[in-house]
Amino acid sequence: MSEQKEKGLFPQKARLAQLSDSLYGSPSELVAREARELLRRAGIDPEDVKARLYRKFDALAKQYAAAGRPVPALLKQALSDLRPGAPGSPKERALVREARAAIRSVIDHAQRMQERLARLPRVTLATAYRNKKELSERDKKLLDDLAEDLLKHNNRSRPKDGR
Amino acid sequence: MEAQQSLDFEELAHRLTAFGLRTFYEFGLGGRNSTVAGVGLSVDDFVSAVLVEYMEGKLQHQASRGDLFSLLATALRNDIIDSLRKAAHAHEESRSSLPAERDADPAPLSLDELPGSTIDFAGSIDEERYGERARTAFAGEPELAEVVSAVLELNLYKPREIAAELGITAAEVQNRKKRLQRQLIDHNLVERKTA
Repeated sequence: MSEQKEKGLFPQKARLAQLSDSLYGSPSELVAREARELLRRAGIDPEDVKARLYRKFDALAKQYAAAGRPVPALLKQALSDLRPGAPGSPKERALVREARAAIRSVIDHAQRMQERLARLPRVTLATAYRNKKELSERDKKLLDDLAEDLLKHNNRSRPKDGR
Repeated sequence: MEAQQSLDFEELAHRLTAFGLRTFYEFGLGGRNSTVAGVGLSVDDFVSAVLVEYMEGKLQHQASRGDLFSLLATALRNDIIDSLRKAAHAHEESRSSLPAERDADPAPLSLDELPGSTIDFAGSIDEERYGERARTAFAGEPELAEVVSAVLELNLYKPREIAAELGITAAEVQNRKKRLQRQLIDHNLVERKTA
């Protein structure tokens, strides 16, 4: 390609974009419903578009995992949105995303609680109150019950490995 | 970056594929299963490449500079034009590197060069050829052809300018642009079936 032609290509790109937008509409004018209609008109099933992209992105996510690199958040979202069987409407997909995020947050919170509880020292209760002569038998019984409840609660909160 | 809550990849996939297909047709490249020879990329390849660039953070979106789809669609169109430039360049280089043997029989044409399947890459992005393709596609539709003339011959680009010239409303111009887009697809489908 001649040098003169090369130099003229940048304005040419802008010019072609201007012609395209003026004749057929700018990109922002192409809404989702209309895009699906155009695809069907061209004999393309919108579900097939989704499936093909899902396969490509799934392979890309596997490459990330194989290389031990974290999968980008947007790639994860793309897989979630394009996954076969994902809800049909954007609103439903947004709700599923929100629900997943909420569940993830609850699970993370519970795991952090368990880790904190595991770090707490084992509770031992002093029973010196039983030697106090000024306490009635009823008061001692109340204090015994309270001590027993505290111990039970503490044991329940600990992980089963007894740490 | 746009809040992820408002992002929807299914919509982006459909809109980008439709936009890519439209661009392929505008440049006379054929449909979804066609590729830009030399670079070997199809509409699907261009769409996934631009989405990957965005997901990997190579293409950054700032809400203050327009909507995300416009950014991605513009990048997609630029990629297609760039690939046509590359293909034209490669084609020219490969032809000029062949020694011309005056007495020898001409070498048989490659499949890409056979009449009917030849794509002139430089011509695909040439403004005049772009205009010719549009005029041909809408020649049978007077209402659409007059919009094409207003844009290509009178250099009117805004709907209200075109509307004033044609004596119609700006809303009608928008309506005809939608028809132009649909007709572009239909015309190319018919052309491919009869080719």
